[in-house]
Amino acid sequence: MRRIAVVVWVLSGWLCVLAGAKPVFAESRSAGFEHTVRLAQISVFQQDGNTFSGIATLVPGYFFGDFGVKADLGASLFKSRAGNQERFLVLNAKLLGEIVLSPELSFEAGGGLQYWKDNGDAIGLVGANLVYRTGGGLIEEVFVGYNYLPIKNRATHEILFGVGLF
Amino acid sequence: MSNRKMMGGLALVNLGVMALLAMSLLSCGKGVVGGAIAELSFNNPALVARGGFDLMKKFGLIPEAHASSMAITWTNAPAYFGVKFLSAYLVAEVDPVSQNNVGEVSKIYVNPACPDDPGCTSTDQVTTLFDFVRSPDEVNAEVNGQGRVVKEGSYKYVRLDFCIGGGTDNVGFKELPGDAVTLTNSNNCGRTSVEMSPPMTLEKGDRVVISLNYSMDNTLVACGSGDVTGCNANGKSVAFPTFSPTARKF
Repeated sequence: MRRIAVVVWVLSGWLCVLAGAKPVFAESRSAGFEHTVRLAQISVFQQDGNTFSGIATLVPGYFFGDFGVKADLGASLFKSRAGNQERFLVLNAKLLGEIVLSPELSFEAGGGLQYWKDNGDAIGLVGANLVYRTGGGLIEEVFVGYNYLPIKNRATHEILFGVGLF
Repeated sequence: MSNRKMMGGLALVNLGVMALLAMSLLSCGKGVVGGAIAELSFNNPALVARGGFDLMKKFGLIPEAHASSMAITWTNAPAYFGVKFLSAYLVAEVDPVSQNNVGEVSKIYVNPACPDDPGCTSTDQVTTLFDFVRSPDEVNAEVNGQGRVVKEGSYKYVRLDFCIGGGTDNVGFKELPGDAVTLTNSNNCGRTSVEMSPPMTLEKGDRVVISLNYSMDNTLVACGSGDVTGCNANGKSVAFPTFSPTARKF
């Protein structure tokens, strides 16, 4: 566990150094590619169940003026309510369309899949994010998000609060 | 960006990453389920119609708490019939010649003495015998409905594993309550239920309770005609009951 923590510490440090060399600012955005790394707290609610965890996603995108298209690729661990699992891996893949509402605020919406390993496997989802851009620095954005997973008898709602880095 | 600011930023990001890692590893709450859940039970009173008994229950002639704990009276049955109950699983199909599983296989019970995944790898890992000559309440309390996530699909059979690679004292029985347990070996390591017709189809979000219904009537048999290798001093042996599955989605 201690070894994992040290590896994460070192890796994140290097990522920051790399990102610090090439920051992206909302004000100067023009057509082209960008990416952020999003770290969020995720709260998941379904009938008779809930779980609270963290999720990390890589969000590469292409922007043209006030619009953009992004992928949202990430992973998390959820607590299982079934007797044979304690926790299970969740992989997240979404395609989002973005519209810039103001220099600070943008709205993203789209859909995709979450893969709940050995617990339903691939599950479709739709989701949206409201993103506040800080204008630069390591924490480039703060966002709230919502995902809906239409599982039969267990419609699932996910709420995310997090930051985008780099 | 100044060095000082950069270091501050680094610390902040590291802190965020560590917090996220901790949140993920300690993911808390009641838990969630994305797949189908299946729960095993035996002679489940909620799923088994027992003629007049159920009618009496239905019309409140027997209080619910009392009714569910009433033992079933069997004839020509041993007083005790214990087996090493390693696991139970749903199978899509069974090859009629080789008896091998065909298609999807999903565990619905793993003996708590076994590691959950992949389950027991040796019969010796289970040291206690599971007595089938008990009331449904007692049997199901021991099974403790695990509510396991199973793969979606269509299933025809439930299979029970009583040993791996041959039984060694994996069955014990008593002809009469005061007798000592006669330990013996089963002739084969598992039992396959009667076919479910139509097959049980499970989808994401389903929760199903499966009852394996059985009767211990006439399972006390003459030596040599049962499903185990040994006999007691009175020349009696035992035969496994037939398990007939019923399932209900909730």
